[in-house]
Amino acid sequence: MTAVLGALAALSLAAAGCFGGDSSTKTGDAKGEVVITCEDCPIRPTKKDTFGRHFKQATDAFNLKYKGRYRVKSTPYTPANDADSAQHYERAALTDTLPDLFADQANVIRNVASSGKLVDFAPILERDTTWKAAFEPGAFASLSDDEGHVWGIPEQRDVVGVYYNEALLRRAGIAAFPTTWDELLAACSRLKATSVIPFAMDGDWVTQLMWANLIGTQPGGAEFLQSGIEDGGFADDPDVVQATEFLKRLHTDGCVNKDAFSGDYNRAAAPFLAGQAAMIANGPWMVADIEAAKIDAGYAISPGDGLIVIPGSAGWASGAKDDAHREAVAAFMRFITSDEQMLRKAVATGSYWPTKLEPTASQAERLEPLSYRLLEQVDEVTYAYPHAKFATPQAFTKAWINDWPAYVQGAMSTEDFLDGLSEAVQRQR
Amino acid sequence: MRLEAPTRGMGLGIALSLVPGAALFTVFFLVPVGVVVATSLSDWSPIGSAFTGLENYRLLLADDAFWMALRNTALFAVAALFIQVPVGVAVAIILSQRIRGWRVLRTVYFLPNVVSGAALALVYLTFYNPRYGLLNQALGAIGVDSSRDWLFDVDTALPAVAATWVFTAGVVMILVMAEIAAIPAEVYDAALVDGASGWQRARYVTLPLLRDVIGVCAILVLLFTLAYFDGVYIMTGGGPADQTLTLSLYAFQQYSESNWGYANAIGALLIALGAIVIVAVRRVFRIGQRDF
Repeated sequence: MTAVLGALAALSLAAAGCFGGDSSTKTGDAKGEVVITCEDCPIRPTKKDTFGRHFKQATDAFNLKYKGRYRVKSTPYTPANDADSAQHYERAALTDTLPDLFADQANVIRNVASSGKLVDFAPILERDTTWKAAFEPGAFASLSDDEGHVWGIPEQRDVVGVYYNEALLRRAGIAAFPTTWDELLAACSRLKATSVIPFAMDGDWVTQLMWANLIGTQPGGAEFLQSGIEDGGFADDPDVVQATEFLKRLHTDGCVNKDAFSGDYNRAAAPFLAGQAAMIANGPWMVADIEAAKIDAGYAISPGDGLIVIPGSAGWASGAKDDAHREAVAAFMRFITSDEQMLRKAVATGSYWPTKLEPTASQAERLEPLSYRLLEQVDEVTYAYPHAKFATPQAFTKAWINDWPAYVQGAMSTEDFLDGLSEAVQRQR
Repeated sequence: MRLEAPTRGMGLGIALSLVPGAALFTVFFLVPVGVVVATSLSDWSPIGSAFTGLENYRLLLADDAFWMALRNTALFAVAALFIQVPVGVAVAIILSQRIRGWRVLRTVYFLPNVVSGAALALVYLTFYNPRYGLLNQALGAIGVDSSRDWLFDVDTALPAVAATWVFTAGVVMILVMAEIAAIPAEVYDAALVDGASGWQRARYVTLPLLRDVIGVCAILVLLFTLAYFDGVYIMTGGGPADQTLTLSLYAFQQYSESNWGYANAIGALLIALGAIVIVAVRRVFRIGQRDF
């Protein structure tokens, strides 16, 4: 029966034309050049796509450096959204058509790894101790499993703080960004009095960032977000309950935009960028939009003295099938995680390295000041913790988006809401 | 009607001419349906597949989200049958009276049917937005202070989603108008001679003669509700708390979570429900049967 199902599945996928022929591993040309296929290596990035332009530059530079030996060939693939991308690679794993290289979020990579079709980078890193030692401790945490396999190479370390509109805070008589959660509530009251939305949220990414901040700035919160969250049982953890109820209170007290429930990031970004909302939690990639909107913004650590630090929230994984292609993939990974490329990327995109790179003063001057100042504070904050989203499967996010509006409206108890999240985590593990 | 037997010697030609159609039907319908049904009997995920018999169906019976999706799909079906079809028929009967400006009205009423469902959903997302949406602003203009988030409030989400399509009955209107145009004028002349009023002609002449086309419209709108996906996916994603989850969307969600066998069990049920709807409506409306 299994064979029949497999044949039917393969037939249906082939009939649906789910995969082009370009993502398969190809041998090199007549000169022995090893060609590796790469999805998410943009071919023609737009002017606004800073990440895409950086990858294009890095790929071109690699191909030039290793001309005649290795070549990265970009294969077009543009997912509609995160879920689409996750399914795409799951299907590719099932039909054994994974590209030699692709980039995705850590939870997706771990999920695809369960198919047994991904390259384990652990032996490669063990052989190249210099390369391994170049990474920050914990850089591989979200891309590894309990058995010591390393399923992806991290390419950035996300440090996520809270942006604030300095002019709106000043107008409300708030001299400095709130440093405690009580101060945040007080700031909320003053901002509301000036008809400003105190905090912009979206019911998904941004809202969960604040949930992570509320949990992470409590003793033991970092451990929960790092690993405890995978076990579920949220309703039994008083810190999680307290954090969830505080986040709900921000909504019911009118501290959050009224349309904060769709799960659409733009519901949060738009009011902040339009100067209607005073604060928003988000990563350094938002700096370009803030600059374009000409907002006089500051970037702060979370109330409660904490920062979301996500080493390897996303990474590069490989479906290479033979040693020659695995070596080529490792060479490309070494290249794009080199100090030179990491610095180039930081300058181009505002996102930072997962390595121990320490820029010189002149190099640091070229970096985006808002986010770099935050990065420098990582070792000084009381609490550093990951975002809830990256240790949890997609079902967690879906359950959150589905239940969060009902919970805030009082249609669900805190226990029911948290049990729903726990069940989602358990279901997809 | 009795079909005549083909002329002797034409059997092979008829059979050969049916081959392309039969092949396409097999490849694009029978095989996919076979895959859906076969894999619904398995635990199929990226890791592999294993035959589990009726386990997926047993799990469905104990799945609250499935029952919620079934309830919502049924409510949408009821709305389609008892609001969308009557509205479309009523509009068609009125416009068939050739009232002033009927051509313009017909075009305007049909317009939403030529716009993609996804585009309409985006329009309605803005329309219902609690901060800047037209609905709350209109309510405010008439003195009703509302900051309700219509699409994400558990009390209003389902009717708010239904309202985005239930009054869009352009297809029903067009089909019914075509049928009305085909009714012989002599029938109305006879009714006039008998002294029937305009209402009586509509009630006792037009409506009974529209039974077939109304039945067809009922099948179309019911199948639409079974397959309804794009609008609800874009507007609410099935939330809040599954209040707008439909069977099609739930199948998609399960597929997204890599529960492919489970998703196909829902898909197989949808196919069965579709078949039941077609048979039931055909019987209720006695489609194709003559009264005289």
